[in-house]
Amino acid sequence: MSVGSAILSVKGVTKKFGGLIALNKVTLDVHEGELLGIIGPNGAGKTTLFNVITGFLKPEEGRILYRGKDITGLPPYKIAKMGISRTFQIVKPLSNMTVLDNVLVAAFNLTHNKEEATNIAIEALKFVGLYPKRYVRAASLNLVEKKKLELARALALKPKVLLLDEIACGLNQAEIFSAIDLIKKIHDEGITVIVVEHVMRFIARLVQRLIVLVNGTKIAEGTVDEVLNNPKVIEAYLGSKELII
Amino acid sequence: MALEKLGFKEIMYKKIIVGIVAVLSLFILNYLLETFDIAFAAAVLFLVLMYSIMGMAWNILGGYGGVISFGHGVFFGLGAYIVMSLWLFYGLTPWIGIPIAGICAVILAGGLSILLRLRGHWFALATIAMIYIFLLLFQAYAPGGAAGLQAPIVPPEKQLYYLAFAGPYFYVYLALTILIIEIIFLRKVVNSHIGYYLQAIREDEDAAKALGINPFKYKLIALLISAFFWGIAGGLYTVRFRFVDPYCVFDLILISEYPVIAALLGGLYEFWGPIVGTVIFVPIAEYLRAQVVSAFPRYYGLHYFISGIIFLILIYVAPEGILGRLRERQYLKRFKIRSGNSNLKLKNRY
Amino acid sequence: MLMPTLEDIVGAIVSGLLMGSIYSLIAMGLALIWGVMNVINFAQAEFMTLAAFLTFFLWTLFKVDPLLALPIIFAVIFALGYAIEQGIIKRVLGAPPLNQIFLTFALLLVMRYGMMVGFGPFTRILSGVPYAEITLRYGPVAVPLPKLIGLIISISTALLLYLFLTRTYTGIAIRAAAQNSQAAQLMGVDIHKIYGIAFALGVAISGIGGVILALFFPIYAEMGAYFCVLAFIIVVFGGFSSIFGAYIAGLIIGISETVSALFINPSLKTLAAFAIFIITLLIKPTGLFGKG
Repeated sequence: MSVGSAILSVKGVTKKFGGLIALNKVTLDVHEGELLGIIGPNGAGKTTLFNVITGFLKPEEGRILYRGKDITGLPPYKIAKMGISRTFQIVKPLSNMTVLDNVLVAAFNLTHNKEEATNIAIEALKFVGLYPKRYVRAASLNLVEKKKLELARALALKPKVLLLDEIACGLNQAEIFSAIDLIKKIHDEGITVIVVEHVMRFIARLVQRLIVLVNGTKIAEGTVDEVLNNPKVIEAYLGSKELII
Repeated sequence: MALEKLGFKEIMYKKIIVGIVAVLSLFILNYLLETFDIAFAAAVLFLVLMYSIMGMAWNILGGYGGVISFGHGVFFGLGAYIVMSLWLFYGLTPWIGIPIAGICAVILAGGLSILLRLRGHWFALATIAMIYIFLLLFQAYAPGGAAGLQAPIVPPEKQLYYLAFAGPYFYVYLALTILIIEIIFLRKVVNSHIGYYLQAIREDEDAAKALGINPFKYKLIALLISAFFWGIAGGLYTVRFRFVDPYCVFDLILISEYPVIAALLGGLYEFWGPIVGTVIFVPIAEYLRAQVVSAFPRYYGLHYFISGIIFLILIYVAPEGILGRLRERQYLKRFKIRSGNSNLKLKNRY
Repeated sequence: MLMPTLEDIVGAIVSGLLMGSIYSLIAMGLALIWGVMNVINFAQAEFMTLAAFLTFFLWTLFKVDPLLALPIIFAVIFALGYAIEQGIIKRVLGAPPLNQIFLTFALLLVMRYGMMVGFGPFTRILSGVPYAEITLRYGPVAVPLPKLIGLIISISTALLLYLFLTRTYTGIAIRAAAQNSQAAQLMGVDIHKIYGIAFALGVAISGIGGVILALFFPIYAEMGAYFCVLAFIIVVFGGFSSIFGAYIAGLIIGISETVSALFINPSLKTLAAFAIFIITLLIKPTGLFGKG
């Protein structure tokens, strides 16, 4: 997959919560069509970064550029409409609605016509493999299915950029592997995917490029091999490369 | 997929036929009541229809949108006063006055929309405060003041023009017609993206935002729609009872709360919930008020008390309402799974 | 309209302070319950009404002086509150806010109209209590003795509450539960009991307000309506979970009510309070002293 120009740019973003600096002048570019990974230990600021990008939080400093436009501080729904879609670390299903309705809500973003939207929703459900359960109430799903639902919803928005927040959290080995396949499938469709994780095993097999965030600061950037061999990364985060892979 | 469509159409036809039969039987019922002059039953029927209009509209904001308002009575009261004032001071027929009342209620709702920024409890609280504010304002400044306004006597040839008939029968037809129009309209709204967006907002506002939904915009739409029908209901009240005063129309319990209890009884998350709840609740409450309380004025307030008890038991035992319970059973049977985690069920955890 | 004189204003301030001290009690109880259990007790003012009725009946039927009856009524309301918390409120503690709103609102209906049905739709006035008729005069300012007694009781209650929350084990446990219920449990606090006590205490304090009120205010089943909304306004204004913020706010609201009555149509003085409420909710939702 050819890597294009920067579709999303984070420029010098700082986010503070009272005295705590969650993000410290973070700058990174996301290239169009790439599969980017952001890793770091818990509390490194990864989810905060997602929240700032998607408009759930406003940064104290810095800007977010999407396709050249400054989207800093825009409300989340506007950013979603522009083509940046996300999942949540702790899944947020619309519990009392059916699986199909959950995704239908997302599909309505593209068309107000119910029939068209239903088709888009069904497409997304088939893609993640939840089609047989489409009439089940979301609350009755297990964790893996809820994560798939989250994914289907994000996909039904037909995004240009997809942000996945710790999707491996709570999954076993087999489930992680099938998740990896699913994400690769999504990426093959041409969608720029940014994956946030702290499970190295998962992300190392998946992404092309990796950015390491520790205590709100970017400490490394590059291909998986480059990053894994970076002494700063090893010192701050990994311990020893062999133990992880 | 084609097979599904076939079944779907069949069900839809069945539903339409049932609907038409239900409507026709109500018209016929009212005709019979009129013929045999059973005024009390018709009066109760009128109230059931009026409260249904209010309950269905309230549910768009409360059940679908998850925004609980205890103060919708402000729209009702405004509507009632507008129809009365236009009639009394300008001789304007309520045929025009009632739609105007609806529009004015919408404008008021727009003005109050800023309250939507408040979270759950505090919004509910603010709506209660709004009722008192309106009560005070109207009592002090509205035409008629605390004493209220009485509609003028209408010569027989102008009865239809001013919608001023003796007895409840005409008003039952009127209310039924309004209710049918409302149901058709609300059905459309609920099946459109607006209905789905509202439910999403109710379930998880953050998730909704991430899906491109502007929560404020859709809550506002729901508020405006519900305000409109409450304004109309207020106008309906005026033509039926031909007397408005601040204490009646801005009554917290009778006007604002009854439809809420009814909606809860029928099923908050269900489209038909408010009607089902109203049909059961209102006759009981009315019976209590009319028969028991007038005969024994010492026990005034009994109807409020009973409605409170019903409310309490409801929350305790079946917060998802009658239709919600039925749907739960149907769901469990269909999918043969253990009880789903309905949001509305009580959970005993700290 | 005549411009109010300085005397009028001073008189209004005093009068507002006295009345406000009762508002403060009800609001303080509300803030306590909200702060500890995250429950918004719509029925708060009904306990006040109940206390007022009890005061009336104890005096009229058994000639028990209201001030003597105070501790008895406090205990009764406390016990009732505890029972209600364990029996009813407990059920909705983990549930969505929807259920909570409905439940305490239903409780309001049941209590208020239960009293109306039980005691009758009549307004009652306590009469014959010797010191209730006395009015003290300081220059131009008239201070009715019962209201002054009320002020003293109110401030004492606030002080006692402060001591309770800071010096006793139960009180500290309550504060711990308010901050972090899980941590409190980990430290051996029986959270079930604490919630029961907190709720009972909150409504019993409101009951004290009711006893004072009975000395000079007409008593009827629906009297809670006004005080209920006012109590909420005060809690919001004072800062949601700040108990003593609520107390101060109550005094301020009381004063603003009487002072504004000098300048605007007296029947609209309530409006001033409501307006403050709505504005506070919109501008600084965390209130004067609150942390949100």
